[in-house]
Amino acid sequence: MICLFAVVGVTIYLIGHFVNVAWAPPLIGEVARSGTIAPAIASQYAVLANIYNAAMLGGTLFTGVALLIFGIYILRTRSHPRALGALALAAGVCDVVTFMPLALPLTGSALIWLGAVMLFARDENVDRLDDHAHLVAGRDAEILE
Amino acid sequence: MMRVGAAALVAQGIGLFALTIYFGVLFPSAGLTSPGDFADAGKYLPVVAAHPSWFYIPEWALGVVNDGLFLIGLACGGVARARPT
Repeated sequence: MICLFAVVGVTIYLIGHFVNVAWAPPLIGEVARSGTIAPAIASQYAVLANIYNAAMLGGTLFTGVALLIFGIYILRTRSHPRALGALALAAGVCDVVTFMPLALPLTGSALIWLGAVMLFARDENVDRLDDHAHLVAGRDAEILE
Repeated sequence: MMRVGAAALVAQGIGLFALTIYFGVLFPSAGLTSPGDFADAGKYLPVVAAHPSWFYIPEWALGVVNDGLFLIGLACGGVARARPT
C-alpha cells in the first residue's frame, strides 16, 4: 500500500517535471531572444504552469499519504526508531497540506534517516537464523546433559 | 540490493535539501517569492530569461533525478524485502 501511493505520487511528479523540461526552455529562450513576452508565449506558459502546478499538488498529496502510512507502520513496529516514525508522519502531513517550505527538508530528513536505518539494519532472515541457532544449541545442550 | 535502495533514498534526501536551498535562496533573491509568481508568465519568464541557463537547470534536473532516486529506493527496498539473501 505504501509503495502504491508512493509510486503513483512520484509518477505524477515525474510527468509534471518532464512536461516542464520539454516545454519551458523554448518559452524562456524566446523571451530571452525577443526581450518581451508575446501573447502566444504567455498563453502557452499559462497552460504549462497549470499542468506543472497540478502535477506538483498531486505528487505531494500521494507521496504525503505514503509517508503517513509509512510513519504509522514504523510506529507500530518495535525494531525501528519511534522518532523516525514521528518524523515520517510530520513530513507526510506537511506534504498532504502542501506546506512546501517545511515539506522539502522534513521529507529529506525522513528519507536520509530511513536510508541510514536500511543501510545498517540487520537482515530479518539473519535474525531468524540466529534465533534458530540458539534454539538448536539449547536443545543440543539439554540432550547432552 | 537493500544497500542500493538505502543509498538512493539518502541521495534523494540530500537532493531535497539542495532543492530547499535553491527555492529558498536563489528564487527569492531574484524576486520570486510565492507560488503565484512562478505561475505568472509576466513575473517568472523575464526572471529566468535574464539569468544564465544554470539558474533554471536545478529546478527540473534535481526534480527528475530526485524522483528517479525515490523510485530506485522503493524498487530496491521492495526487491530486497521480497528476496532476502
